Amino acid sequence: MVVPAVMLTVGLMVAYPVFFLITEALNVGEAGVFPPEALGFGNFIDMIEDTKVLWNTAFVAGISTLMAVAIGLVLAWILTRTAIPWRGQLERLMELPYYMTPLVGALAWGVLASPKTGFINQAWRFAGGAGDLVDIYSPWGIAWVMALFEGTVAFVMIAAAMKSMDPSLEESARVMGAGKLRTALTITFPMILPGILSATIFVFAEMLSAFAAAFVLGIPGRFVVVTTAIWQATSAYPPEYGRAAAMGLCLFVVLAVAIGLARLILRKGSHATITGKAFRPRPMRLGRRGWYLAAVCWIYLFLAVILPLGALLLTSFQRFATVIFADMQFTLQNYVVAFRIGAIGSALTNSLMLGVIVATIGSLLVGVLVWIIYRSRVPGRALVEYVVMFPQAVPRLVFGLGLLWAWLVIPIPIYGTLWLLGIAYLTVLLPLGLRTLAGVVVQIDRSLEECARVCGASWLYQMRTVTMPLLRPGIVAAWLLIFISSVRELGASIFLMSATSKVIAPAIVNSWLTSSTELSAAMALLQTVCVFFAVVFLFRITRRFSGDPA
Amino acid sequence: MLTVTGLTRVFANNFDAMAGGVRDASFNLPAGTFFTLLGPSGCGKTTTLRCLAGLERPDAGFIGLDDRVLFDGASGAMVPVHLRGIGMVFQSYAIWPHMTVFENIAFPLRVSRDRSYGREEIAGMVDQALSTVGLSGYGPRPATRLSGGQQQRVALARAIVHQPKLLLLDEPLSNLDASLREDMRIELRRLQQQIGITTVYVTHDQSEALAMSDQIAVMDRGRIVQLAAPRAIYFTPANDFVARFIGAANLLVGTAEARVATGGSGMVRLVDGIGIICVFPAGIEAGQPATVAIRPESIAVAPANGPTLAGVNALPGILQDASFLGATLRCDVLAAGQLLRAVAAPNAAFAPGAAVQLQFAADAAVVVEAA
Repeated sequence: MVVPAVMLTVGLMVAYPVFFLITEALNVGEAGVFPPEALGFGNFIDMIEDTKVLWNTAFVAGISTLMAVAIGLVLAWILTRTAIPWRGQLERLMELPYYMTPLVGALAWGVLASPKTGFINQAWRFAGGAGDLVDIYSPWGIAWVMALFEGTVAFVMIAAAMKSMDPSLEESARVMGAGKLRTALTITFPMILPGILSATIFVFAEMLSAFAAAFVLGIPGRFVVVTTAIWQATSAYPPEYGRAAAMGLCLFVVLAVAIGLARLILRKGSHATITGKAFRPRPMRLGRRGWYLAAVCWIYLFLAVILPLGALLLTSFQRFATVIFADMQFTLQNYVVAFRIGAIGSALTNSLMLGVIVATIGSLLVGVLVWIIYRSRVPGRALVEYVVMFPQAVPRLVFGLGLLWAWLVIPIPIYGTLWLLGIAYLTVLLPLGLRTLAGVVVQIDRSLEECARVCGASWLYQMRTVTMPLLRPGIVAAWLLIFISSVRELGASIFLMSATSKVIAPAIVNSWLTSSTELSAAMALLQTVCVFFAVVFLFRITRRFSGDPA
Repeated sequence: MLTVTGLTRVFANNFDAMAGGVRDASFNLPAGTFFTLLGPSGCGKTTTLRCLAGLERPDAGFIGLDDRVLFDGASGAMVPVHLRGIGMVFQSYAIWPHMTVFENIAFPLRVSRDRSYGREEIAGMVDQALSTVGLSGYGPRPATRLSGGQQQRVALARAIVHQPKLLLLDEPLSNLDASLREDMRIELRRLQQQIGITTVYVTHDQSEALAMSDQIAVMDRGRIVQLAAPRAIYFTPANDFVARFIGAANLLVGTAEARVATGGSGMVRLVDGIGIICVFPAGIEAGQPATVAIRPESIAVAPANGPTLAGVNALPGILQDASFLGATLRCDVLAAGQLLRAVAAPNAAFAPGAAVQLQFAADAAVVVEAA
């Protein structure tokens, strides 16, 4: 009885917006009318004829994927295979660019490297250079920012492939007489190739659906990719909902195919070589050269975390952003404005409130779902998992688009309120929570619970004394991850926010496009601080749970 | 007194035609019996144990402990797992990692419904249980900081602390290394006799079963194929499966020469025409097929031209392979058209390819049922 209810709720939350997306994509009559007056493929033809957008998208995604995979490969190799100073700490710090968010990263690099006013160009001219040294509002600039901030998945996946390789496979090649280079070429590389290949496809899919960097850095220079084209189509007058939906649907299909392909490669290519066991390959001893490799990691952290945060910090305390010391005018005005202007202050409050509520409901719901999927014997539990995980396959932006019409049409007055944002966050963030908690649940042997029952505990007592205490770190981690993700959510929010229900990430974007850089920097920093505290908590919790010595 | 009648729990299996579980298992155990369910993996022994614990609901059958009915398929009555008042050690030990050793062991006392235990009383009983398993003073230690053998002892202490009437052990020694396993085998048996608790023990290790049990039930594909004392299981296996599973017996197929009464002896003519004298525990009619089980350690390897003894079977053969194992010399001999295994004295000097003679007494050749 529980399962059909859950299925129905989650199914509605997921299937309903997708249904509307498809209908709208085929609607060639008047936009936004439901049911459509005329159906056809006109929207798709329009999209294909707009070759400039397609070419831009492919170019930026391609370049940024290459950069991200190169970065990921180098960092993964250094951190898994070599003995560099403070390796453990560095590995942990590599997660930071992910928590920085592409939006904050793009803003910061906008401050650093925009033509004329960017810090780097200011310094360049101050030093006597002519013109601009760098231009972040270019396809290369966008790709650079995307590679830095969306590319962390490349590092994670490649590092996982490198870690899971049995070192004895390489050692046996060496024993049989192969040199270091030959071993690397004939054993190491072929074995991690599936991992690299699937990471590349995964990252490419990520880059295709990336929005924040392309939006913040592409709109000023009128450089449009598919995600920003979707946004433009919906905010144009009259809105071209059909074209937006067609593009969104195509993006979804391309992504689904790409992710399927990546999984297939990973499964087919690696079954013989990579076991489930986590090995710690014996790291190479490098002596002094280890310091150079550690420096490479620190350079990455400098470019992706320290430099952007420093630039935002410096900007947010100035009247006019500059790095020329003599011209600096320090002020707290930006923070005062950020808190005082109702729209901005309430955006932060709304985001935090939504974050807490969504995280609380979400982690409870995830607890129930995990129990149904992994512990009960209810028929259809595999289907429940599939339905809950589905939103993961839909780009946030496209999902937000579907929700936009779905709730515009429905007679319940929910559109334009925080309720709709809450529902949207819950739907798109449940997969994240489920994955987090599932990782903990599968580690808890079922016999721990059964033993409590055999010892004489009732089901409730067993839940209270054994199951819940063991699950607690997982639930707290799920709560924090959902909280972090909803505070920084941009893709779905940008369609669902209204004048009366502002949230922080889209508010920062609006401020960047319409008011001052300095104010945007202050807001971005406030958001980062909220996320930062949650991340610190998360790190402490997960460290305690994984049992690493503190 | 544990009474199990017609216990059945079948799992549907969609992957192949075979279905796992247990079918129609029956046994009666007087109080204090050490009873072992023995069989290869997937034979249904763990399912049987889980039915006894109440973790699995049987499809049919009856389970009674003393005068309590734990499960009755006819009326559908079933005592839920937490009200059965039994002790159990899981294969994984299931030591709760978020509790100390003391808290782990005190758990059954704290949740007890029969009576409530005072704080002092609990402390006393836990100390008693800890000293019984030889872990006195380990109470305050976090449960995660124990070796495998210590975890096993804590799990055992937790299972006996509330003095249950029935103790269930699910392969408790399989996660220990070999030498520790031998020590624990002896200690477990000593402990069981000291407390005098009825124990059901599940294992796939025949030497564990033979060494520890009062009664052994050998299971194959969900059914109990033989239920007897260790010696009876070893010396008179009920069928060829038991003969092979316990002690890796050689099996020879032939035909009975004449009618033999139950328990008598007679001749079996093997496929290649040689006749051997065997024991027929179940009797046989003339001309019927018979499978003869002979244990490797009952077969002596002698030179081919050596003397034959009266009343002793002799099979000519060619030595294929001999492995020196220290205490014994394991020989594989091609005889009667198949490879037979024999165990010779370690100082015997036979080269592979040598013609030999396999000698075994008539009462070492037991005719078993073909399953």
